[in-house]
Amino acid sequence: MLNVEVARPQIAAYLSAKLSSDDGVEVGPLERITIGHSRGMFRVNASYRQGGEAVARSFALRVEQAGMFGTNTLDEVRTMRSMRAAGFPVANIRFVEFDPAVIGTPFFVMDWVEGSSGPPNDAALRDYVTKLHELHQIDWRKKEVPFARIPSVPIDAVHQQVDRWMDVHRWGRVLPEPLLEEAATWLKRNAPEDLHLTLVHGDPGPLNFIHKGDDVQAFTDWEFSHIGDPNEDWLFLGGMRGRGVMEPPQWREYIADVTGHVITKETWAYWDVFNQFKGACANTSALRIFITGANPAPNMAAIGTALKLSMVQHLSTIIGMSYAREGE
Amino acid sequence: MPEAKRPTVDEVLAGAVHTIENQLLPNLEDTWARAAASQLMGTLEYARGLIAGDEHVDARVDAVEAVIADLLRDHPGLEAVLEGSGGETRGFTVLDQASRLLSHAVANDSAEAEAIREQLRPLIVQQATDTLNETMPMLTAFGGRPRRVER
Repeated sequence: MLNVEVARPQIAAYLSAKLSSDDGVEVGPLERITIGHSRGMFRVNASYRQGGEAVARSFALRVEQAGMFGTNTLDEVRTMRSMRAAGFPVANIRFVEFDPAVIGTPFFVMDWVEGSSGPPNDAALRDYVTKLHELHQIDWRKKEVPFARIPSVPIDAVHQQVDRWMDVHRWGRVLPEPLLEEAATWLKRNAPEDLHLTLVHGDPGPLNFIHKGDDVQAFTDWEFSHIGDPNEDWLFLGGMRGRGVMEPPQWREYIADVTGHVITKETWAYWDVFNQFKGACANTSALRIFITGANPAPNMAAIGTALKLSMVQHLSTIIGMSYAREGE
Repeated sequence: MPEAKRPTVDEVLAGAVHTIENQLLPNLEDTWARAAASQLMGTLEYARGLIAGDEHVDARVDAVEAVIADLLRDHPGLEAVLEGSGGETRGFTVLDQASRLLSHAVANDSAEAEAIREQLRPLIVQQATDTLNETMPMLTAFGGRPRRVER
């Protein structure tokens, strides 16, 4: 776990080596950005002289946390650079560091993007949903996508993602979680027929994009991205991350209104289970990270237990209802 | 009845929660630090619940094991589903078997699948709910608004 007080001089030394400065870089107190748990996020305010001129510049420091959510810096950086190259709004990554000698864990440094990740206004929200739809329209087969696994047919994507998240769960768990094992099988057996293969952000919604005025400045948090069905994104937005903005039925109408993408109730229910499953599996990783002491902060304990179990309860209720319907 | 050493673990934890709430939180301005303090209170409340109750999973494992034994007695064909299951502990093995049985019952309308859904699944759901309730103080405190300490 990054100790920000210890890390500050090390970050200053790192930037001194990376940036072209006359006599080194000074770094102010690191400012923790209070969103997300997958990575440690900090604002770094650097000042230095270059050619005799004073320069003040801010960066975003994104620090890996011991395998949280089963993701890693390399995949995230490669995805972000690929998306930026495709013309999508993504922060510019300036430096990437994998040597644990620097601050003890991999990290990368991005140019600071001015704006807010807080509640967007109506126009910015509409811009975000429009851009997410545009992401799904990108012809990814003609782009350099960095994903290690590319599904051959749409159902393959479902199986790949279910297996991916089950692996993360099994990495983090102490004991088997029968309801998640059941859900994995249920998701494979009950996948909708009308599946598509598109770029999927994987973690879209409020707090995971930066906006300024009426416009989106950058999509953030790309570590869950992959090739899959776009409804995974829409349900993550409308069924989970976006619930503070409006309720799921309103999201379903809003998405159709803004993008023309209509999601049936049955499809909505399926991807709701899928995302609860994905969230529960990802959250299990926090339990291992907490127990091993890699990050003994209380948010890890809560994510790895109660938050995970609330998702297990949600998905097992829907699966139980499907059994009840079949029995009628 | 054995007499407890004083202060007890619960008294120490309650004092810690009270101190965070009344002496540390009011003087913390950083949003992340405030959230962490609140979450810490949640984990301490969870710990209080643990020491007041049962810290072990054995009783739950016993209950699952008994239901699985009943299922195997009534439906011997299920033995094949459990082939290859196992684990380093009894708890792991039993819950691995429960996992295999629940997965086997998905999209399967046989009598044995029905029995799994009727006998095993409700128990597993109930145990998950019980664990969620035990850990609920951490969830309640997660967003930074802990409930007041109860002595």
